[in-house]
Amino acid sequence: MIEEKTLPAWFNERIEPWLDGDLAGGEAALFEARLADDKTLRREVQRARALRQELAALPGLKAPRNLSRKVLEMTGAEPRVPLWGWATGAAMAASLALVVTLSPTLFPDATVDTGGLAENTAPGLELSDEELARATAELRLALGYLDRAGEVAARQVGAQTATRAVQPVTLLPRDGETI
Amino acid sequence: MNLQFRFRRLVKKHQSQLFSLAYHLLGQSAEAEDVVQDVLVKLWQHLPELEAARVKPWLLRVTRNASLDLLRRRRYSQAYVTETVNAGPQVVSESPLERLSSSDLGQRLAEAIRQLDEPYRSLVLLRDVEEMNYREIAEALELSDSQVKVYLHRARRRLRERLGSELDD
Repeated sequence: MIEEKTLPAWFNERIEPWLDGDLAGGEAALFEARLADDKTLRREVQRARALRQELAALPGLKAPRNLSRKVLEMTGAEPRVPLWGWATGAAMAASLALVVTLSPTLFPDATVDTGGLAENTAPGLELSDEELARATAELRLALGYLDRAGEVAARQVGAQTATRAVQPVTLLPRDGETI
Repeated sequence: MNLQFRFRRLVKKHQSQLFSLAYHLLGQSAEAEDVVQDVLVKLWQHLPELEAARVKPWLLRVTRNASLDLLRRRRYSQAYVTETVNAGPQVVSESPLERLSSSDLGQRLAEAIRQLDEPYRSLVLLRDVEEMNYREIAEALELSDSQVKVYLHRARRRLRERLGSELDD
């Protein structure tokens, strides 16, 4: 009776190591010999396998979506996106091209003060066709950049607004996992 | 590599596992989020001195310790309130695993995990739920590799004994 009680405990403690292949040769042989004859031990081994399957089926959790943003803001490690930098640069380029192109029309008599070193008077509408075509092309290019800059800025503003919204805790399984 | 870039990568890579561990230990999303935030801020402060290979175990260790500290404080506080106002028996809330597990057996397994003592509970969570390797777990829990195996075997045996015939087909 005592021997029967002791033996199952010895085997019971070795079920997990045996499943992991961690039993030494002699112990493994003893365990397997018993396993062949003992229905109770076989049932416990089967339960241990079932337990592992159930454990593997438990889902992991995903962090809330705004967690990383909060942490990056708290630490100052957030990537610094110059939101208006690109747009401002393109807008300035477009404005400059616009001024250069239209200045003869708008300010036909404008004089640039060069401190007496030189004097330059705008030549009115005396642009050649080639100069006008080049200026128009540059203006179109600059306006194109400006347009694109506006789109980029709008996307960034939209993205920032979306990520700043309070997100519920996400209790979804990770990729490849099922609940 | 730029420190900020490295930090951002680490945050993205580990935040879910840290949150999952804290959530399973604490059973509350808001507290788990607070713990992980604090841990990641600590990571930022210690990042220059941390070797790349040690970051993950360090993060898990700090997260587990912070969660267990919070758990102890919460239990102490609840016990004090219960004793002071004589509010009756403490209500034990469901753990996140219980809420997530759809099957009856899954729910009972989650309950059985929650009832395990430390370090058994953390071992089962890190190995069987988070699927970490023995080396990482050993470093995270400051145990030897052999201790991890022995304790994990013991933890699974306790679960198996607790669930008994429920594990039969």
